[in-house]
Formats: sequence, C-alpha cells, structure tokens
Amino acid sequence: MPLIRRPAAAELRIRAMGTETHLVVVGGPSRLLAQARRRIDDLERRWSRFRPDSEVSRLNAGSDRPTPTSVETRLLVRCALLGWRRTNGLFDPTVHDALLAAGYDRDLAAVRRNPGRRVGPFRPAPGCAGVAVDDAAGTVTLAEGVRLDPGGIGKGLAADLVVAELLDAGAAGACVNMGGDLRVAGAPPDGHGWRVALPAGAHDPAGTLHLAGGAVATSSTHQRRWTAGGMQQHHLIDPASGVPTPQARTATVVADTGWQAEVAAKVAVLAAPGDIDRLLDPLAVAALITDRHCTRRWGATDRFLEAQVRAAT
Amino acid sequence: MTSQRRPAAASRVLLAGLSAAATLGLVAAMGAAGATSSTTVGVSAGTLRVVVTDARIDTNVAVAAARQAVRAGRTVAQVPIGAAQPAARGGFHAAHTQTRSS
Repeated sequence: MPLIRRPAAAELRIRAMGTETHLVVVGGPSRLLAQARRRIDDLERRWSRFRPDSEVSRLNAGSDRPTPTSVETRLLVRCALLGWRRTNGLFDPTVHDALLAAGYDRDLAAVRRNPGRRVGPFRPAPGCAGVAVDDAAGTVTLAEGVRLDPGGIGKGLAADLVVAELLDAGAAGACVNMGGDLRVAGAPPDGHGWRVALPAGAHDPAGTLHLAGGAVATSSTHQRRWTAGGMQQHHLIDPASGVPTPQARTATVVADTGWQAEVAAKVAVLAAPGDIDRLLDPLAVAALITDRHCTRRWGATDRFLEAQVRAAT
Repeated sequence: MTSQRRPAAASRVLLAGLSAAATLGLVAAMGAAGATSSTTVGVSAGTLRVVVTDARIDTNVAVAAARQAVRAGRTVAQVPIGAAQPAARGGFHAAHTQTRSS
C-alpha cells in the first residue's frame, strides 16, 4: 500500500482581539504561524475600539469628517455596510454608544473585574445611512453622532483575511478561529475535512460541523455577559432600542465567509422569529438556532452536522 | 486592463495582481452588486485581467475594485475563496477547533 504523506500541521493559541484565538496551518513554510500572529496584531491595532490610536478610534473621533484609512479598514467598513443593508439594519455596526451605555467601555475582562455602577442613557443606534467609503481618496466618513463597533465582524473579517494570506504564502490549508468567528480553507490536517465542534451545551444535539471550506460563527446572549448598574448585561444590542436584546438565544451559522457568518449569527439572535428565514437567506447556508424551547436546524445544516449520539441510559 | 462580461452559467471572476485583502474587497463589492454566495474568485498569472462571467455582477464595480486593489501594490498567486462546502464524514475524529460565542 503506498504511503500518503500529508503536510504537517502546526497550531497556536493566543489571546487577540479580546478573545481566545486558535490558528491551524497545514504545510507551507514554518514562519507562517508567526506571520499570521503578526497580521492579527496588525489588524487589532487598526480596529480595536479600546485603543485610542487605532484607525477605528480615529474614525469615531472624526465623526462627519473624511478620515484617511487603510485598505483593510475600508474593507471592514464596506462589509459592515453590506451587512447593515442586507439585514435592513438589524445587523448594525453603529451600536458603539449603546455598548458604552451598557457598561462595555473597556476590554471585557476589565469590565468584569471592575464593573460600572451606572448604565444608560440607552438610545437607538443611529444606523449607517450617512457612512461613506471613498476608495479613490482612501477615506471613510461617518455621519455626525455615528461611531462604529467592529466587534464580531472585525473578528470574522480578520479570519477571512488571515486565512487567505496564509494560503497565498504557501500553506496547503488554514483555520483561523477568532474566539468563535472562524474561517477554514484548503487541506485539513488529516484529510477528513475541517471539523468544528459546536459550542458546548449550546445546541441540541451537540455535535461537529464538517466543512471542506467556509466559515462558522456563533452568537449567544448567554456569553460575553457582565454586570453593570446592578444588572446583567450582554453584548447583543437590539439597534432599535439600544439595549441588550431580551431574547435568550444562541445561533451557530455556516456561511461562505467569516464576516457574513458573523452578520448572520447576530441577526439569527436578534430577529423576530418570523423574520429569521428572510434575513438568513442571503447570508448563510446553514444555522442552528436555540432558544428556551428547542434547537431549530435551518438551511443545509444536516449536510454539515454530525450529531453526537447520546448513550442509552 | 480589459474586462468583459459573459452571461455564462459558471460564476467566476479571474484576477491577477491582487492582494488577498483587495480580493476580499472585490467579493464585498460583488456582493453589493448583487452577486450570490456561489460566486468564486480565482487569480491567474500575468497582467491584470478581470473576467466577469456572472451576469448578475456589475462589471464596472468589479473593475473599479480591481484598479483600487492594484494601486494598493500587492500581489498574490492564488486566493482560494469559495462557497461554504460540507466535507465527507466517516468514523470518529476529534474536532480541529470549536466555535463559541464571539
């Protein structure tokens, strides 16, 4: 029997963009993991809302003036605008001030250690109607009073960019998992597809998604929570009210790209039950959506999911 | 740079001389122009050439995005961007990674 020699896989777990990040690189030069880490650091320096010198912070401070930005940041804003338009504003990157009102004004670990005593005022998110990207001038312009929170879409897009750049640099396959916003492409480590475990305890059945390529994102009102003003808060803001959504829901979405998966996961949590199909259709190919009552499998989920078989008791 | 538009069944855009970021930007631009998630992007060697074979894609948008990307001055040989696809299953294998709420 001929031996099949597979390219070696290397992995790295780091903390980046305020979350646990997992990198897997199959084949290619040994420098690729370090290259990916530097690129993620570079994107975090550009997109963090907690760094006063980041491009996003300068954008938010510039308000309605054209602000010079890199091609990466213009791409980020363009993707966020697309998400906002495709979801009729339910995905809204302008919830920055609403997150501050809910007490999420620093890195989440710092918020949890030293929570704010007051919350509010809560106001509807202003929306993206006045946001403009000018690639010829290399600028982004926000409308008066509009501030962006790159949050999850930044993580999803970072996964997209870094995976593409890893394959471009010679990797046979790559996985970039930014705390649950992940993208996989190319050859998996063992020839059996990329296997992504569903979040523990989130969906019924539990199981594993099998992807030849694509992206997965999870959003949940049960995670990324903190206490502020004496109340439990979370990061999934209903843009219409500016407060954390009262719905208890977890959504795991499979989509073509990380940023699309993130947009779809957010709307799957925020949408009224009757709107989920219409909003997911242009963004996702599969989703598991769990609320207090049950887990619903949406789209082509059964083509990706290998459910865990429960042992008989 | 030349561009052409073919209302063929296959959805494919070929580019050369683009960075991964710019290519993803092009995907975003195509999304704005109405392309579906099945659109794929590939890169061929040589001078920049944009071939849009999806009738739903606005060629002008694709070309403008490509020009902008070339000004960014980066090159790639191949950028694999495609639709999410399931993989074959069989036997027990541990997961490579886990998703969680971001």
